[in-house]
Amino acid sequence: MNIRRMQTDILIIGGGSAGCMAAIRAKEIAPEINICIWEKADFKYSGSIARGMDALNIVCIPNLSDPDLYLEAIQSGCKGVVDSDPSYVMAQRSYDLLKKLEKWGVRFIVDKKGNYRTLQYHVKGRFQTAMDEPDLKLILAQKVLEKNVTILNRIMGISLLKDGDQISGAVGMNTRTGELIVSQAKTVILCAGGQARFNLPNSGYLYGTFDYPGNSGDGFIMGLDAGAKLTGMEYCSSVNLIKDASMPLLAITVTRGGRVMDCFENVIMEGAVNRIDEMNKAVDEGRGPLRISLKHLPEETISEIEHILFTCERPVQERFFRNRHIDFRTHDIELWPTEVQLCGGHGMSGIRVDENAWTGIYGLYAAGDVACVPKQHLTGAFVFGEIAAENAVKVTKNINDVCVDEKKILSILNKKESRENNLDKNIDIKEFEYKVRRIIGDYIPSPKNEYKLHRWLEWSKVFKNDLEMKVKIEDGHDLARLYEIEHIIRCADCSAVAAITRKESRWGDAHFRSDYPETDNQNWQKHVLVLQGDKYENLDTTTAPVSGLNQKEIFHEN
Amino acid sequence: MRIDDSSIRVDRDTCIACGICVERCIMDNLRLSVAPCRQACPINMNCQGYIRLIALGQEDMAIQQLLPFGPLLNFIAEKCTAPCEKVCVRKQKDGALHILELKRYLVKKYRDQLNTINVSEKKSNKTIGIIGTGISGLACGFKAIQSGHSVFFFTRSFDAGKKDNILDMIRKVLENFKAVFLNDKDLVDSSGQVRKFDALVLSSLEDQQLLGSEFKPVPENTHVDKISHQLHENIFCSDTGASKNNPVFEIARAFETIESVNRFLNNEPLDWGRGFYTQEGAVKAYKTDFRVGNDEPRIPMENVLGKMDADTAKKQASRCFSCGRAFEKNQTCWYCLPCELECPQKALYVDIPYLVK
Ligand SMILES: Cc1cc2nc3c(=O)[nH]c(=O)nc-3n(C[C@H](O)[C@H](O)[C@H](O)COP(=O)(O)OP(=O)(O)OC[C@H]3O[C@@H](n4cnc5c(N)ncnc54)[C@H](O)[C@@H]3O)c2cc1C
Ligand code: SF4
Repeated sequence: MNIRRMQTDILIIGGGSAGCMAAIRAKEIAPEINICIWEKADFKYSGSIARGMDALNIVCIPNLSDPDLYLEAIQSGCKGVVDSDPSYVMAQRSYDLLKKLEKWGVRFIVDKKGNYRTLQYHVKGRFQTAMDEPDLKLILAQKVLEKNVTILNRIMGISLLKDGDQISGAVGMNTRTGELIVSQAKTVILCAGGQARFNLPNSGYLYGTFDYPGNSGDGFIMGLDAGAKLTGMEYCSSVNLIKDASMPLLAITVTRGGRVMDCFENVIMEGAVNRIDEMNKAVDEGRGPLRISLKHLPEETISEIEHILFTCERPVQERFFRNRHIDFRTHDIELWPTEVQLCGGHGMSGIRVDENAWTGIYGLYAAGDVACVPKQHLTGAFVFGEIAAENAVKVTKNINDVCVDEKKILSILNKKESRENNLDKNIDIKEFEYKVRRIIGDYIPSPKNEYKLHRWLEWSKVFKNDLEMKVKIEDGHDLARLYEIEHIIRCADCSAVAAITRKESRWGDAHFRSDYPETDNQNWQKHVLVLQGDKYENLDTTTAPVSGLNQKEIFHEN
Repeated sequence: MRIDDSSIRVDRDTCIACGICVERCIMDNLRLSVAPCRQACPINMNCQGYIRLIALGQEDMAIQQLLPFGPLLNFIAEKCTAPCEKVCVRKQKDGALHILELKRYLVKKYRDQLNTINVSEKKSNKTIGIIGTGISGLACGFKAIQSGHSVFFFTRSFDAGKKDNILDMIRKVLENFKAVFLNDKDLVDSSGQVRKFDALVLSSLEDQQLLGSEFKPVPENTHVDKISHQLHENIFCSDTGASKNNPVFEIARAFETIESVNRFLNNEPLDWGRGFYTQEGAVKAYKTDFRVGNDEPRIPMENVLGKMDADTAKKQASRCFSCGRAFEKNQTCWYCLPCELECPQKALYVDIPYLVK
């Protein structure tokens, strides 16, 4: 039995924005504690930021905005289904975070008077703070390395281990060789990102997604199996972004004066990204495709936009537009709805956490896109990375020793070996992923109805059987991909049962039930939670009230 | 329908098959196709790398590729039987590339730069004892110093009288890096205490006899594990009894042994995740000796500089077909560009897949 064993105090699964921040913070407050990061890819550039970022989406700059205003904005943005404490705490800590990043050399754009450049990205308030930092991930990675943290690259977490009711470690897999690794840990912080590979993007290219395709919902499923609750899984978020490429540009262009127009040249937004719902509505009503026009802007602004688009988030955009001979001075940029993502950073799906980044299981924390603090973006990943670390350190100090569950490890090993065995298997893994994601696209996103959602659940059984019995594996990479696809299927299950439970429509396109087309605030202004039933196949759902909601502050559109 | 097309372009002329892009890729998309010469090399030296760099006229960069082997290169360049040349693809056309000669040229020309060891930044406070000061012992010591350990050598009495210029040169460099050389009698120190080490490496199985009964495994081990080189707890042996027809194999085994020692000291399993770069591939390639083309003798080390200059070296190196390079194995590209950014040769260009373009 070739399993590598290790031991650490805090295990961080996922070394993206949240994971790095958690490691740094934990070492800041307790340098003597052992910390290990498992990263599925290579830590230096991995994660949604890959390289850089152009804005910190939520910062409450003193005298300009405050956490109460942010709470109003986010409650209205989420149609009332958002717990106030986590969002409030995040907003409170956001300015200190900005200062900390600045100290590390991250460049925020400041005008001549020394004021930060802010942009409007919410229905109200200017929380988005512009940044110009193509090397953000490098800076973070450097900070982590300085702190003497153990980093294991190419290790994908696949399951959490428990000792009674308490977390005791995790099982991972080397994504190149398929070998297993077991770590005993006193606390675990999940930072494995959201679910980027849900349905197929419009281009048909499996990895042409908006979000980093290495994030395949592993964190959601690990949490679910360990007993954590998933919330908002019915929220199928999709935005209008660059057609075919699904790359971001809304905030960068529109907040600098770009116009979003429908095909009849009606201007939907200009200067602020505050009417996303209106954009989706225009597309639904057949007024698409939408486009962004920059032609009217002065040369200076256009070159600034180009500079940011082509260096920070997705520098490859330069090649994309060059290939298509699109010059912003003469051409508009066509938009199209992206594929659906389940994400606690952009959307509102993920592991349910409180303001301490706690999942409800002793010793298990979650931060970043894997945890649901609706639309927390990068700010949330950083702030809750820190908060998770602070609490994990506290708990770790109280725990003497934990045991790993050998029986579970053995069953994981057996399952892996049976998946590796290629006898009588003939489905190509790429085709398998393609079909799974195509069928998800057929049955899960809006317009939803009970019949469609049940159809998915039937398909899901077929896929789970194929996955064990028919899909062929050639190397460790394929094996890791098989686990990812399993997680994609199971995320779709969660999304389907949550959508079946929520018998109303809410959030526009993100959850529209053709059999319950109205929003029902009376009964459904609450969370739908998904939890693991007693068997692998079983999922239970319940609901939970929204906490700290101030009814007066929410205005519902329509 | 093609559901997974995409396009990474690698420039053959400039790619040195270093594998950095493969390591940095965040979608596990790339793999390195390893040139036959490198596969054949017992110590996995990137021949294509330094040869391409000579061909591009960048000798200063070429020597960088060799630095990880430090003073051992003097031995390698002199003694290697060049299995790389036997598998060179060019051999079938008009004779193998003179890989060994080019190595000798570089080693001779830049020998001053080779008298140093790049010690790991992470200092360890571990002490390692090594019995035997032949090439395998010295190579173990070299690697241990590189990993940040302190090293004590014990010259075996039957080695003591031998004189070998190259080994002495290596020994001097190790001494500069604080290696201590003692006799096998000194395994017991002046106060009569058996010296204690965090790990002990033997050059051959017979060296077990030198150990005091406190350490000697009972019954004595008669064979060494081929992958882990572990003999008994913290005692390792670099000699697995495998063939010695190329002296460089001894260096390869020494490197493997110290890898195991490092894992042992870090409490890591000795065999997990190994085999990616192990000798197996190398040995296989070594046996495919197709004996086509010339087998003319190579210029010996002493007069390589007289016979070769930058121009002739460049001309020779330019014959390289550049067999190894990074390639797109898994079609999972997210066109995020870290690979391109980190390529030291700017040899990689990430194109957008046709489906998206
Ligand atoms: C293109 C793009 C542009 C964005 N622009 C902005 C912006 O301008 N402003 C803003 O505020 N926010 C922005 N965001 C959002 C922000 O980047 C994310 O919310 C944030 O980075 C999420 O951090 P995270 O740590 O949760 O996830 P990530 O940074 O994605 O990290 C997840 C990490 O976990 C690893 N991982 C995944 N599964 C496993 C596993 N099973 N085991 C081990 N490791 C695993 C992954 O490899 C990855 O490194 C953007 C996001 C994207 C994709
Ligand atoms: S662009 Fe990104 S995903 Fe594609 S090969 Fe390079 S590092 Fe890998």
